Amino acid sequence: MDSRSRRIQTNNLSSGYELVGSKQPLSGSIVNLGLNLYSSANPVNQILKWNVGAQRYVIYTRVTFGSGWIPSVPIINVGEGFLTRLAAPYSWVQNFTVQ
Amino acid sequence: MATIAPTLGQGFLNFSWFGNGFQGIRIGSCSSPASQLPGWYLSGDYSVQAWMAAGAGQSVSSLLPIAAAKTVFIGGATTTAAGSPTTDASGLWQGLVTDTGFPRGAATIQVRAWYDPNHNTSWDQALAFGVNSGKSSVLNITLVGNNDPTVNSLDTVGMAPFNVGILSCPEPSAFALAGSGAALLFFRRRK
Repeated sequence: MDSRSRRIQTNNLSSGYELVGSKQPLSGSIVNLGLNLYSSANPVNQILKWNVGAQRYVIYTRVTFGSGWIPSVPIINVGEGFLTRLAAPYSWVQNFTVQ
Repeated sequence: MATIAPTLGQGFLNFSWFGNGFQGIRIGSCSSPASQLPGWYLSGDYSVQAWMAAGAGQSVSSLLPIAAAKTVFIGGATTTAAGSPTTDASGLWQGLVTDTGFPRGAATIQVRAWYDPNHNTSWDQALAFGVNSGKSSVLNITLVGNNDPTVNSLDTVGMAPFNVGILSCPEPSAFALAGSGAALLFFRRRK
């Protein structure tokens, strides 16, 4: 018998700014969390994380080369919120499996 | 020595420019170093800095360099024509959300870029050394608080691309005149 429980959760992100977080209690790069944003020209797709120490936002920009992000791929902690700034709406689909 | 301490009232900007995804800062018709050819996009051997004044519509002569709003272009050195905004972000830069030291509200900004391979020279030194330099048009920008995610960047205020080059670029006609003079001297000496 398969004891695993699977669930698909979707976070529908709007264009412009939106305060979001992972629907699942996971941490890691946004790519591993399923937030595979595409690159866009105008405006560029970005993620803004609040830097507590510096008391300002750190802005991550999606690009088409290297790691895909400048200055680096954003890392999200469990329960951490962040802002998306998108050129168009995007569906953030997460598959979650409990063993 | 006087220093500017951050306060809640100070204005921030996002010192970045992505050129609407396809535009970038390039080398103009006369270049120093000469190994960098016209049309190439700038990379990490160029510094870029904001010059600003409080209030909108201020004159160029009133603008001051903002130490915190200084960074380098994305990438390594400018060595080939292969780099571009769409392939490796050449010609673009991403700085930080920066405390300008000016109050929130309207401000005037101009961006200046110069050849600075070791990242240790100023705009004035670049002019004195006669290396590539260039500046944007003068723009108005609204500075916001540190916790405002809609902080303006050079993209949101519509900065247009500009070229860098040497200021004492001889006109093509000057080259032609110099060539004619040299030829004249040559023939006179042969007589």
